[in-house]
Amino acid sequence: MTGPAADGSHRDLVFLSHATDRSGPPIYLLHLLRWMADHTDVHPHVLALEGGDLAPELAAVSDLQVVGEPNPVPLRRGSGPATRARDRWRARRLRHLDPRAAVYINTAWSVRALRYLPDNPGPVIAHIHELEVGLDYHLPVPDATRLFGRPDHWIAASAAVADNLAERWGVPRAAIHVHHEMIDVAAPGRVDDLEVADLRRSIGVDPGTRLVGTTAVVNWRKGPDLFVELAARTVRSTGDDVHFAWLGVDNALPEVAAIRRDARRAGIADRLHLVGVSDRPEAWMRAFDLFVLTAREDAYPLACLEAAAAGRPIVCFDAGGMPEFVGTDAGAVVDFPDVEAMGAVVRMLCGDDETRTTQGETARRRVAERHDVPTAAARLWRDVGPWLERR
Amino acid sequence: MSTPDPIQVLLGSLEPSEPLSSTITFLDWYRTRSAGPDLEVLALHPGTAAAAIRAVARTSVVYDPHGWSVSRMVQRAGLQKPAASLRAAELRRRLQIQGPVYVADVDAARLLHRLGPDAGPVVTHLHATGPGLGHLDEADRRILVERTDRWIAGSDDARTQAVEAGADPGVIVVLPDLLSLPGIGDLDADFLASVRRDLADRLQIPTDAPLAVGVGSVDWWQVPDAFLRVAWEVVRRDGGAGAQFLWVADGATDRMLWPLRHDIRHAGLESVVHIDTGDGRPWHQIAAADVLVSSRLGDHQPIGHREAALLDVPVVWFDDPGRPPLVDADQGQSVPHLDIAAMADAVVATFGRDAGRDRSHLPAGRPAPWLPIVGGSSILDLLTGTVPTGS
Repeated sequence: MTGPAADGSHRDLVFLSHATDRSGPPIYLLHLLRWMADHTDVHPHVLALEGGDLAPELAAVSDLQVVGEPNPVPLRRGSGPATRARDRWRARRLRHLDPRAAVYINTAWSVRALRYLPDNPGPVIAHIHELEVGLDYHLPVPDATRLFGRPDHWIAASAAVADNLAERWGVPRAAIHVHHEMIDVAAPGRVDDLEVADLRRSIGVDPGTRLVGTTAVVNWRKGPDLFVELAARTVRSTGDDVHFAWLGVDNALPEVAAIRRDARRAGIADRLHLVGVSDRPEAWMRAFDLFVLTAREDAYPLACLEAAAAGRPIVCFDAGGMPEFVGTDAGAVVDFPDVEAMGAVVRMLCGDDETRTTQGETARRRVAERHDVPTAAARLWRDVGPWLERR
Repeated sequence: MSTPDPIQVLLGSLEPSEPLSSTITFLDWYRTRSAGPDLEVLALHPGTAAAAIRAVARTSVVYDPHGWSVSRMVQRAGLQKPAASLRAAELRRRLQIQGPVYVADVDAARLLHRLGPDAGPVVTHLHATGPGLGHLDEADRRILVERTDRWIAGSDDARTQAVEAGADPGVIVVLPDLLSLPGIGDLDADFLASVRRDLADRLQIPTDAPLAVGVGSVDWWQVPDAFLRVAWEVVRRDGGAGAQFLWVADGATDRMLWPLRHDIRHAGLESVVHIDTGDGRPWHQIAAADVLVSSRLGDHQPIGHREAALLDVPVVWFDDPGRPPLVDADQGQSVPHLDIAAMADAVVATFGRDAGRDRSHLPAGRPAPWLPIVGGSSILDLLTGTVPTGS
């Protein structure tokens, strides 16, 4: 895969990643790298700020280096000579990289790794998966300045992301290319029915009981408070046996203790299940009967696409990019923060097998048409490939 | 005649909280006394209430980002481990003291590991509204119980917590957290009208608009978030149109308020929900309100409840099964935990019933254990050992 391209030039591409964990952007990157290995002559490098359990898989299809967060680390003080020397040492370890290589910033946060690289005459591509919370709230000002000052090309993970870049950050709309996320749509089909039944049984949900699920890390943006309220409202207002599950919780977080406390006080502790991180999300998506996204904003979450691939309808707020997928027929979109309306849709879908199945099939068809890796990666590369040509 | 040993007050952090508010009330009362031992405050972490506490007592902070110390200099050089060792040594020297120690919030328990053996008596205040003992590390909880000679419990529930942690019931005194209502003696109809006019001018709302107020920190978990959800539902109900909502977050910074402002904007409630970072007298806003919306989940007997009760302002709050309500039934209404719709109904009902009622009669000056003149003396008596303990 390495070596000169047809025109004799090397085509190194340096991806910057915030981590190698199982969050959306690194998973997206892994899909893209695997596709590139089969379809391009580009030599990919990945510089990750933090590690994670996706590292072996990323290392199998790229030159992976986990470089560490540069100084100063936000929220952690210390900008002394020792840490500055450490950062200079890290930068020296990257001197083997072609200084003319193209750079692909995969998530706004990963622009922080750009500090380790020399000023680069090659093209810089920014692939933004974040909305207001990621750009306005979390990204430190110097990094935002760097992010919005350097890229030659912009990729937005959804139209909502493109709107935010254009309206709040002044990125010219003509420079933004919208490429939605991609997944392996066949994965849920490879899940054994017995595994699905076991997962439901593991949280005490009978085959005839409706299970409303979601998956995300637990933080404010993802709206776990709204999820608990949704569950409480639904359980209070329906005599039917409906359970709720949040997949991907870290029990060490105080917010998770708060969820448990609220569920107990609201009298739904036996209906709300908090499940740890799983390496079998596709099986859990099959175990859910429908998927709800209570996020206050989310660019275009992979979890929703995985649920769609499992044939599950999606209910979300009109916040972020997911309404672009759901439309009017693959679930429902309700006003933010109308939990009552979301609850009404959930109750309807739990009680109406035909509508749930029909909408789930629409979601499955749509994700296969638009978001399967071969289709979506090829579409992305039609834009990115020409940007990598030497200028 | 020897000088009495100074009183050492220990705090976990200087972020605004109801335990800290109660402590500041005590310190403010103490400094107005004409005689008594010196008093010093040592806090583990800084916070936005630092100026308020420095105004009433000499205060130092262990992890002060702006302070000078050898360990701080070493830390700034990037040498984290040596800095931690130096900090521990500095702290141990600082706490080789004699005389009374007032552990004013249990998050200060970590400091007791460095407290010299001659210090004492140690009086620990387990506030009604604080996070309690449950979140402390086992080692911190153990040292707190071992070193405490006398306990002040802010409620019967806090007393039970202390006993369950191993405290001797015979050394626990139940004493409500202190309230500070400076200027309450001026409260009359004219005063209320002027506060209301000031608020209306500042928020650009009609003077006669029904006004719901919430008070507290802006921790995202269910505090202002639930307040916003209640507002969203109230303005959609008959009788709720035109209502205005004010969240009073004393000392909150723009960054702390960012998530709440994000939700206000995305819910389209910019003209309905307002934020006041306060003037240190949130009771003014409570006095001007038609109802206090207590959306806190997890705290009981919050100071805002008691201020509202004192000011005869109705309160709506989430019920916690098994715990007695503090506010009398004729002053408010509880709703099932997390039942936002029921809380919105209760707010609308209160607007219809109580808006504009005469509250010029006043409980000012009524001796109560939460007033500093009474409660402050009780705390001081425990510290100076002039009264036997026992509830």
